[in-house]
Amino acid sequence: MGYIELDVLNNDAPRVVVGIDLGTTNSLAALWQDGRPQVLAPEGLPATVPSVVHVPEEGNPLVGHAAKGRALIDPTHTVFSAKRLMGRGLADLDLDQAPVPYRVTESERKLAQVELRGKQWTPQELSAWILTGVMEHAKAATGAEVASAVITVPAYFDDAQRQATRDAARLAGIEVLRIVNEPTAASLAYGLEQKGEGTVAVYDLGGGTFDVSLLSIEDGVFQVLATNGDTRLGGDDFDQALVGLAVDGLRERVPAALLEDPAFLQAARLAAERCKIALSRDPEADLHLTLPDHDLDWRRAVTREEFEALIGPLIERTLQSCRRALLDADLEVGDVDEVVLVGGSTRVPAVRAAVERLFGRKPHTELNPDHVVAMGAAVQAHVLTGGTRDVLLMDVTPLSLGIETIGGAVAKMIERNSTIPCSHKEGFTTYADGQTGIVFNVVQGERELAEDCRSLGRFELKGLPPLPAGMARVGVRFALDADGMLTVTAKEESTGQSASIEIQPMHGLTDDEVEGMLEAGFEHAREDFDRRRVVELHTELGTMLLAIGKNLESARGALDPETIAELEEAVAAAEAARSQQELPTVQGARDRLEQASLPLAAVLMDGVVKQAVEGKRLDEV
Amino acid sequence: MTACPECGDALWTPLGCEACGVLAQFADAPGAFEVFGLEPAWDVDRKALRRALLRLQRLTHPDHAGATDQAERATAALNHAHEVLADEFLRADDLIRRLGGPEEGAERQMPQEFLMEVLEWNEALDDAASSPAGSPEREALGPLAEELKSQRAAVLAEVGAALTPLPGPGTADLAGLRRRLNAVRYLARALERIRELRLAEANDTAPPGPSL
Repeated sequence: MGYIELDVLNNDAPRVVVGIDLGTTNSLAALWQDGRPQVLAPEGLPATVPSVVHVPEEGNPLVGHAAKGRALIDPTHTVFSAKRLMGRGLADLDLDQAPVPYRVTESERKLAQVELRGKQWTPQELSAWILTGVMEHAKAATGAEVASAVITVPAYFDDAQRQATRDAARLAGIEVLRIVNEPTAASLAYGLEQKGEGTVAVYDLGGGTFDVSLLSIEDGVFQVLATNGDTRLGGDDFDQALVGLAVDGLRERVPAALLEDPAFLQAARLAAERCKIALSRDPEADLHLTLPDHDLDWRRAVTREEFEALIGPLIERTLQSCRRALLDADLEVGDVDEVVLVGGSTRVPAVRAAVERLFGRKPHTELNPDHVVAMGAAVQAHVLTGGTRDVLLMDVTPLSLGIETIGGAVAKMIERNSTIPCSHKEGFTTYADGQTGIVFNVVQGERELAEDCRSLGRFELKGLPPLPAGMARVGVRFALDADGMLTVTAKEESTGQSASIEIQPMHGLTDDEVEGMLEAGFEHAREDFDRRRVVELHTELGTMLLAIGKNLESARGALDPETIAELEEAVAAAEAARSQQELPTVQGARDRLEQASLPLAAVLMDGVVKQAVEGKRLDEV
Repeated sequence: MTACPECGDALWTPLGCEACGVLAQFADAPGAFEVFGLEPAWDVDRKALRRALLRLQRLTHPDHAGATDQAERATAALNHAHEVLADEFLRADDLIRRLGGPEEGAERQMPQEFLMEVLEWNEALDDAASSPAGSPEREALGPLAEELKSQRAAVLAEVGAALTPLPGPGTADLAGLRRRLNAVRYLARALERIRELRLAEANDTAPPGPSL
């Protein structure tokens, strides 16, 4: 029986439960509205918020478009792809292969963090700022506060990475209803359950990660049969291949030091991205790199063929993951009824063609591949808040879990691709006479030896009765909840003496650390910061509008009608934004006005130069 | 058949009540057959089992029943019970233990007539593992896999026949059945090894695992 909650005390903004895709490159939120999932975009702005954080000299970080705008000017304080650092150590990251312009360091607990202006930032904090940007964006679109959310992660995220995602949400003040795997969410977005029974393959190639999942759909129940992927393969790698071209082309022409300069790397990355996007449309595009400070203006034509040769091996790696998933699910390619494409990188024609060749059928591309995951998360949010019982998701754990035994082998407790929630109990015993404690090393991964798997943490069961070797009976229980998060408990059973242990997160933040960060003012800083930023932007808008108003009439003749029309629209939007309070809206209006007024500025600059030169001539006369 | 403590409806599963949605409390997970309201037996109707799984998921899954410890435990018990009943090896293992037969750890032998073949198979596997891709030793893995699969099916059929109808206490050679199951386990491991060799060959990399 359902009761309607009456909330008469709370007169604040209405609260909504959204789905959030916290992506490597872009993040966004979606909400179930009018019987379907819809992405949340403030009027006139895109739904996506770039997953970029910029830390200015003073004040709180900038997020999204505003942060991305600083990437070229101030690359060392602008963090892209923070998601790649989540729950990882330096050794995991392979930064030599994919260098970043900012400084990555390691905490005492071997966690990657970023040093910005003398402060160490955990990836959780950086992600929390991104989430804050997404929530502001959502609020601007709906007028409602985001109370809680379903957040998606790559299917291949391990326990540490999932925990880090939860911590980020907690820092951002979001209650996490559920962590859902991205490809699983995508299958929900397409509403494939309405087609009846079938097997679906979801191919998800994002900015930084690749996932493939195979699902069966039957009677509204989505069951993940197998999942596979690569947490370090995505569109960023396509960009990197083009950056490599630029570096090769410039090696002879510029000082070697420039090729490692953060500003150069950032500019090269952005140029590569532009070139990649153009190549999805045109058979040939320019890789065009300018660095005015270094007097560099370099251009090279890249054909689609050439690009495809560069990324071919990367695409092949995704296909290998698909084949592994099929083997795991005991399926043939012919058993797959539908293929769904997710992630911006599936816009690359060579990717689409490769997927179509492998599965022998045209993949679904009806929904925007950048929006699908958030939309699916919104469907799941709708289910979790009791909106519908027509759909149910049975997900699996992507990696096996086990315990290191004597000799360094792994005793598997939960096999990969087990349906969650699940639990397993196993008996362990002592190996020495009179042993009173056992140290358990909990590992995640598929390899035979514990040292080749990821250690999630060690814990010790103390106070065992001193018995001959092999006599103590210790029952260890692994429980994976519906989020795929692990709890381990151990109990000494021969004497009935029990001791339960909560596993110390080796790669996550401890509760104390999260509390500490919250106390350090994260929550309030965010609000204060947003308010101050809006005030600053209002002032800036005023100055810009004044300058444009003063100069537009005199320069009108030198501008083409399209430029003038766009400028006038941007001016109108900016005028409106002066009375608005939502940061994303005001920021968006400012950015648009700046863009639209660039041609005007150029005309004015010409005029100034001419005057200066003419003046000189006069003097000379 | 017990009645629901909340609404009095007859319960067909110990997990909870489909009529009013109340989930049961239990310290130790109920047996696999009990979860699905089935009498212990070798024969299981796979389609009916799958239908019952989906139906019970709607009752227990935390997404529908609420994110409580109870829902997590009930669904974990359900998933485990389904895994046991859907897999012939695990089902036979469950039945043998139910009948009071030896645990896997208590009877480690394989049937005598099997041992010579095991030696041959091991040799073929080791040869293939140490030979390059495309070699005759590797090519032999295909037919070997087929042979192992048919052996496994044959042994499981024998085990199934001995368990149908379910023998009364003390009437079956349970240790003998356990030895046959050990052979099934050996065959499963050998097949897994072949699969990994082929996968590694297809990928030209290490066995599957995360790259991090």
